[in-house]
Amino acid sequence: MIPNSGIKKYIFRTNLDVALSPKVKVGARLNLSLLERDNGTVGYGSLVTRIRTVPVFNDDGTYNGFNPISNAPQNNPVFDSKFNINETLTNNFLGTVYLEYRPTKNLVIKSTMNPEINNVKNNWFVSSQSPDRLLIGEGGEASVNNLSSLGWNNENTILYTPKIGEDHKLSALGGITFQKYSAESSYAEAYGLTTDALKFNNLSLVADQTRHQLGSNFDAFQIVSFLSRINYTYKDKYLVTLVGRSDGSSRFAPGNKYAFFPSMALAWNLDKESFIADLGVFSALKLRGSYGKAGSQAIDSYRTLAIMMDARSTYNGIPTTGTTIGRPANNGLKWETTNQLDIGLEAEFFGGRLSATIDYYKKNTIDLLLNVQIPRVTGFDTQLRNLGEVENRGLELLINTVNIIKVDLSWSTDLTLSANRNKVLDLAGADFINRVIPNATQGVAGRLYVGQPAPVFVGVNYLGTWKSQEEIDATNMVNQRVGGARFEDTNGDGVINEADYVIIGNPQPDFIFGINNSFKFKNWDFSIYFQGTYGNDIYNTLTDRAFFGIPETANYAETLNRWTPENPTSNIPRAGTQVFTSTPNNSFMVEDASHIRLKNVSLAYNLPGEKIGMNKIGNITMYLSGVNLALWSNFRLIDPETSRFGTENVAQGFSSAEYPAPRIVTIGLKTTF
Amino acid sequence: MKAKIFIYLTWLFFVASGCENFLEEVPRDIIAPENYFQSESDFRASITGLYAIYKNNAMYGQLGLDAYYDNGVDILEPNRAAVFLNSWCNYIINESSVQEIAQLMGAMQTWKDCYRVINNANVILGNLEGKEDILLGSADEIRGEILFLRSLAYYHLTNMWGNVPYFRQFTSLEEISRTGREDVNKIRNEILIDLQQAQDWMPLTVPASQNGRATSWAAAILMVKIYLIQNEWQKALDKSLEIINESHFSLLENYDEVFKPDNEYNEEIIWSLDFAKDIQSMLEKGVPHLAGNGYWRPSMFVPRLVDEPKSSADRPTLINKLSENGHAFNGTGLQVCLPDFENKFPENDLRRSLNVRKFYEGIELNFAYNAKNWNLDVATSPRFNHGDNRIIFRLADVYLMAAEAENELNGPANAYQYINKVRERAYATQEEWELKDLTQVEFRQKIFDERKWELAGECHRKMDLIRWGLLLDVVNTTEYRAYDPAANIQPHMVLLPIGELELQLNPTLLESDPTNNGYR
Repeated sequence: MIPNSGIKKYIFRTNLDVALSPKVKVGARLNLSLLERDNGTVGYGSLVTRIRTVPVFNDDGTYNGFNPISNAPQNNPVFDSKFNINETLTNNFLGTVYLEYRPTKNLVIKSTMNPEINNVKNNWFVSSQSPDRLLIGEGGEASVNNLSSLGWNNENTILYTPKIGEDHKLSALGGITFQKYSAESSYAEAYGLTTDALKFNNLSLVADQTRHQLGSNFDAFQIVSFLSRINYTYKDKYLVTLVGRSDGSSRFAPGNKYAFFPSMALAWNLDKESFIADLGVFSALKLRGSYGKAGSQAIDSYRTLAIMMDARSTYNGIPTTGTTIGRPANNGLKWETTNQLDIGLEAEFFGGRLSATIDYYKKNTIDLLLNVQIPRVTGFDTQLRNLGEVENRGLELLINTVNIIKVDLSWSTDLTLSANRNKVLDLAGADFINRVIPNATQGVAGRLYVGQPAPVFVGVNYLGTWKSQEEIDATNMVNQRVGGARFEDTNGDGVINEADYVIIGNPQPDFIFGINNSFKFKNWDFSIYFQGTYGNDIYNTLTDRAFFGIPETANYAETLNRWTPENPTSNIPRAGTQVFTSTPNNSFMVEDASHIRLKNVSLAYNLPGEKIGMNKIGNITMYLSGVNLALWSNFRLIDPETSRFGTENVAQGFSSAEYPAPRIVTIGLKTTF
Repeated sequence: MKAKIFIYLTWLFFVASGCENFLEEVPRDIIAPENYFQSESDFRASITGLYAIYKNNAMYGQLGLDAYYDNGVDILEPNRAAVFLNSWCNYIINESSVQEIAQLMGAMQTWKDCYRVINNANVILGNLEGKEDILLGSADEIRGEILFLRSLAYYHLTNMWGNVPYFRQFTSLEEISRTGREDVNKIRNEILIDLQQAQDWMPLTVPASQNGRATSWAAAILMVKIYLIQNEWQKALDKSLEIINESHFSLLENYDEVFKPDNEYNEEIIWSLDFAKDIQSMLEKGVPHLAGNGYWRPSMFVPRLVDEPKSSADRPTLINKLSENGHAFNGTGLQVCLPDFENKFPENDLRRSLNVRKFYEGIELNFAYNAKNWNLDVATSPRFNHGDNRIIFRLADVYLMAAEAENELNGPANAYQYINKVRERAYATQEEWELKDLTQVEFRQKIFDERKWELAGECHRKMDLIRWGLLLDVVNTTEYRAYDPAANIQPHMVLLPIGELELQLNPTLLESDPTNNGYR
């Protein structure tokens, strides 16, 4: 439990709709929010790796900041959580204004404008009294980081719905949308603070004047879309949708800014056909299919350009401005495109007591925007390029049953089941592309291979411990010790390195499931929702230290059963003599990420206002709900859904002890007037 | 009604034609290289950037170059197997091992950083053309410094790979990516011309506030080193004597003083890279978010407390002594002396205690440490945040090179003065330090050893052994602790192979030499 991590939120909301005339309507929605978030000053990783025998306090009662094992200063998490600060303050304004004009009965012209303003400030402070800093005579540190952004989104559409007879329904939509975002940020950091009195509020007063750090940034992008859509329905049985859109992004170079993305959807309401209705089985039945293209421009702004980057250095101990070329240009960057096919069937039985939906999809993404390796003679490792093709195929099943439906009691169940199969189809001739380097000291652990999911984990196979000197002598490997970790030398050259890498895991689950049960009994509502995954792997970067061991940090409890001369059959490497300064990426670092989570439970009591004599109040609802109340998983770091690299789509499945998803309990009262 | 639609469509049309402007990208916080060079300070900053690259982990900032020059020879090794040193120390050198990256080091990482220097240098040189009028000082002075820094990158590249891709002017990424290897002799001859230019153009000294920048003399000593590789003895001798006689450098009286952290810019140092505690000096820190300046190299020479001392009974005393002195054994112990180096280093050589440190305050240690490269002081030189400079060239090296060249040209008679000058401070009595009455062959033998005792751990050894044709002999006869390089070393391993991935991405590299320096 980390004492200081939390959120405070204040929200103000208002809606306004005014009919200026029968033909003209205007409206506005305003949403103001203030968010204060305490980000916590102690990382989960630093807690789980901390050696438990290193005391929090010294004998004289002062905080301890020394790790006797590494003979080096080490931060004190109890001190840090008490005296350090890391908070984010966000002011957000989100608005919508719209104007709707209906010149005739079947024509609607609508224009909306959605501005969004964000002011974000991050305050960070490390106490000058931190015990580890006192030991080396280093003062405190503080920084402030400001970001103000303005974004807006303007949509202009014209919708035409002519009357063309009883059986035909047609609607046509044309429009153009604009989006613009710009952000300015600034940053200041001070070192060598001699007192805690001012924290981050007066950065230069008590700081070491020679070590200030400053920075400012600007970011902007614009997107334009021209769109047209035609919907046609015949006798409510046959539905056709045609969409054509042309999207333009400022992020690509002239000539590549625009791309055209057409799509088509067909649907057939089979239950309206007499030959189906006559069967008397279905209360609803619909078959639908669609095919289309969509684009992604998910790269940062200005990535087509080379830049000069900061390469400061020192002369005579004095910091000096330095610059160097930071990345290679690529004028040829263009939209990443996905061709997607969907086929679905929706069915309802017994008047809606049972309904089921099944969907099949196949998505082929081409020209992926990836950092691709280029010859190092360029002075760079990678260049952002469009490359390759990745396929995603999958099935999604949704079943809803209404098990009991009575006046005072109802019970329904939702079951979802989905399975996605992901595969790299093309890498422009490369055998593989390195994607994820979780740790600078260890090399690549995530790769794209043609024919494999994107990415797969790579590393060497862990074979347990060396059981005897004869076993070692039978190989040509050197520097091995009995009881030490044994890895598979695939190519037999006596060295464990990237040439011995094999595929050791796959972060894609075989399937994902969720089950929700809702009950209603008189005025009580109760629902319980489980979800989980099966068959996915997670790459645990902490195992490097906590299993293969460096003596400066805590190890997994299971290492108590490690190899010793008295315990010669153990496959856990012996203590204190790790063979490698850093262990190669290996199969033991990959763990099963299958899990079941009790995601949501809620209990609510509805009290009609009139019942307690408050006629003006519609309903009073009291509720108690919990998120993440339980988790069943074998993962050593508790929560297999944490990710080191956030949601980056070809770098999933890496964990290095990020905070597990929090357990949240909410008690609330809701009324309507 | 129709008119209204028409108006609307017309409006759409105008909006649409404005969209090309709307989508224009106007960067404000970045600057592209082609717009960057507007004043002298921009050129100066870009040169400082070249120094930052030289301070990277794969270069001088960690063990990047040490792994090549001083490991797998007869000087240093890690005290336990270390991922980034195993293949060097064991001579398991192949197309895949050279491209391993650990702690941002590895041969192909060094290759990358060298070319990063070269490609940046070519961009700066190109931009300097026609911009002389915006400079306050001389364009040639700037040009000279860039030529020196570029030549040093080619010096390391040709030492390690022989023939390498060669660029003297701005070259597009596409062209760089399909350029083959150029003859090493041509490269060396041309960089000698560049270095002479650099020597003529660079300043003889820099003001104290610029300490750490290379001067004219750095270009000169690099020329000597290349002349020796070429066996151009006369040129090597002339250039050495030019440095000895005309520069302001002089040998310090005491060997220990050369490496004192409180007098880093002393009279013997021709060029050292500046590092300062807390201030980032390298382009890429090994672990970006780790506090401190990211300069790890001295930590590699500092012992680990878990390894020491020899007798565990001494442990409490050691810990007390360390703490009394404000010291700590909080390093990695990954650069310790080979048993061979420890055993052969003459006991009466006063340089021994800085090169082979076996005791701390009288307590015997398990390993012998190369103490001239460590700094144990917790306050001034903390772990992974050292302020100790990295010595690149110093005058003692020039004396020894003069002695070697003179001996090769004319025999020992005139060469004693240079070698004895270095030995004089290394022994207590003249009897011990004075060399005389040697044959040319015996003198040569003395040079082989003298360079080892004087310059151990300063990134000269492997190239010395290679140019003497001794690398294989030495590896085969040296006593190693954990490794067995004699079992693996092959004659072609005096050069490295180009990494497999680099060859895949640029097959042209195999055109002039399909064997990849004998590795395929």
